[in-house]
Amino acid sequence: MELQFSEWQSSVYGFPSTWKQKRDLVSHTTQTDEITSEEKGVQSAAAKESEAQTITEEERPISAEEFEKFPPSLFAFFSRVTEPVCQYLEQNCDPFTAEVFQDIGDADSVSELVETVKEYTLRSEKVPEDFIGSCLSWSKAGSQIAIGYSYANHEVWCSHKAPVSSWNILRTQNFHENIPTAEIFLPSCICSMEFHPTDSSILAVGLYSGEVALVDLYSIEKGSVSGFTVKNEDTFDEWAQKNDPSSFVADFGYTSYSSGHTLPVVSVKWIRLSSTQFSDLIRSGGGRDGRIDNVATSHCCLLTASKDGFISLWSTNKASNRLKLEKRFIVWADNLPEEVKIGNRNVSGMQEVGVTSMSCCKDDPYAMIFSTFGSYLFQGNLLSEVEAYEAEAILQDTFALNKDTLFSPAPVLLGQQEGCTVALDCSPFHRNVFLCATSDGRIFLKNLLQPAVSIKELIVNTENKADETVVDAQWSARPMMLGVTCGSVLKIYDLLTGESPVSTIDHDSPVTKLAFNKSGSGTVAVADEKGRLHIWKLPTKLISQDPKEMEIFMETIKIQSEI
Amino acid sequence: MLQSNEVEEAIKRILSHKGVVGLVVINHEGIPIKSTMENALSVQYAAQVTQLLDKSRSMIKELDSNNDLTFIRLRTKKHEVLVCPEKDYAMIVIQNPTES
Repeated sequence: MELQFSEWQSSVYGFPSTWKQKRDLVSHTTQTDEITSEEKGVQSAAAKESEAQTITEEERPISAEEFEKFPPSLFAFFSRVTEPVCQYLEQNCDPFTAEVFQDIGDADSVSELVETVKEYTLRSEKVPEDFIGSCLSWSKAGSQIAIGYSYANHEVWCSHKAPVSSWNILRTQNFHENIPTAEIFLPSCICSMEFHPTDSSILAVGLYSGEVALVDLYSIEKGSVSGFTVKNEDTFDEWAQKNDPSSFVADFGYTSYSSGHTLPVVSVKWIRLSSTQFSDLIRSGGGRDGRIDNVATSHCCLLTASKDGFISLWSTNKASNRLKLEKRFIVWADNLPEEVKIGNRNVSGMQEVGVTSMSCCKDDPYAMIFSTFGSYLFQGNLLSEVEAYEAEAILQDTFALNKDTLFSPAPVLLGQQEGCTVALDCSPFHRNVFLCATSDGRIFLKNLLQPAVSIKELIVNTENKADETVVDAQWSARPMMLGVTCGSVLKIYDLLTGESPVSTIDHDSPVTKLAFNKSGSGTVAVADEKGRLHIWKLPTKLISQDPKEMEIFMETIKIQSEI
Repeated sequence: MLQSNEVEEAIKRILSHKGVVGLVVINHEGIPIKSTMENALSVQYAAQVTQLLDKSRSMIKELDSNNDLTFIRLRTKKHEVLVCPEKDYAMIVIQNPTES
């Protein structure tokens, strides 16, 4: 068999063309339900016209509704009150009352005072020509100024009768620049004085002879005094045995105590204490066995310091005409720190160290600072119960003193100045800040907590003139202002503005002491070597205290203590 | 309405006095209800005077219970403040009499 391949032949299959050859159109229609339509009219129901206009508050009349808020009692009130108020208003416009208004208000204080104006130059007629003004004090209310006179040079002993003159500045009638309101001659030259803190008629005076006198200016003014002396040997008690004590002040105008101070009393300071502070202090003095007669004793004490090294604390009675010695301190070489090289510690009779100036700290009635010979500065504490046994033993033998206990004021050495310390003043605004003026023309502001570093140092004697020595420096009534007397010039420094003086007041003779009036009247008193007392009124911009001043003051102190 | 006029008249009369700077009427709560000065100042005066009135009244009553406060005239460096207190209201007037 043989296979043969032959061509396969098949039939052609056909397929009908589906290509459209012509268009097809079919028409259709759709129709919803019949459209309904309706005609309706619309019209707004009501219309209103109103005006709008802005009116300011004042123009707006109070509408009736508003008045209803004010009850009728308001109208009644007005009808009652208007009459008296108008009366008072009219009174004020009356020229006479307007004058009174001005006097009370002290018209000057509202108007600016641009320049320093001299208010008065006072010099008592009865004071001999050769006396110099040696100390000043303003009364605390600022109404009286007292000046003490002294002879410029003393040989050994003072036998001068020196006056204390006081003027009442606020009294305009009978005010004479040469006739003081009150004057008294005391048995010796005046070295220091201070007005009583509350009673403006009492003045405590420290004399060259070592006596302490309490002067009653009121009784002197009344004219009942001529000025007697109490012999130095008499103590008050002895005198009182011979005479009637109640007439003492009336006769003499002053009571005088020889307290055992034998050298000039350089500083007298009043201290105000509360009753507990007072009793603590008295008890620490060991006196009175704790019995204090509160009725008769006033709580102001007097602290006196003298060149003989004694610091005495006295209490007064309410009438302020008697002093009682409560406690005595002595600055004795052995009680001082080792580094203080004073005198000769081994030679008896030279171991007490004289005090040259003293100031009491603000706020702390027991603390005070004092400077001694050798220009050492110490801080002392009145509550100290440390007895100075050696001093007692030696002094009681040599000077035959009463057997009082002598205390040491617990002196803490603050430093030694290069020049001679002439003035010390604690700031009345900060308990730890004080100023120290040395005779070579420098003022140091120091902080008690850090006395080695000065907060500020002012050089007063810039031209280094030999005759221009600093005699006195004091804080003013503003925290950052202080005054210095140098030569014949009073320089006022304002620490806010810098280290050069903001005001320089010239005088025609060298000036000795200055005192600021701390009652806000902006006056400063200066005493000079001719025995004259100058009262200057400082310009308003110097007196007025900037509200930020206290803050700046605190900042200045703080910055230094952080160094 | 008559009364409102009266009040306005009274205020005008007070303001017409020489040197009067302003007037404030406060109610018993110390809120100013009428004033001729600007609002902030009136509120300050109202607050301060209310305290002053309380303190003064209590002081007078303490010293003598039969006594009572009728008027305060506070003279200052720059002007005088007059306060007329009553049971429900108080009137404060500030006057500067030296001003011409």
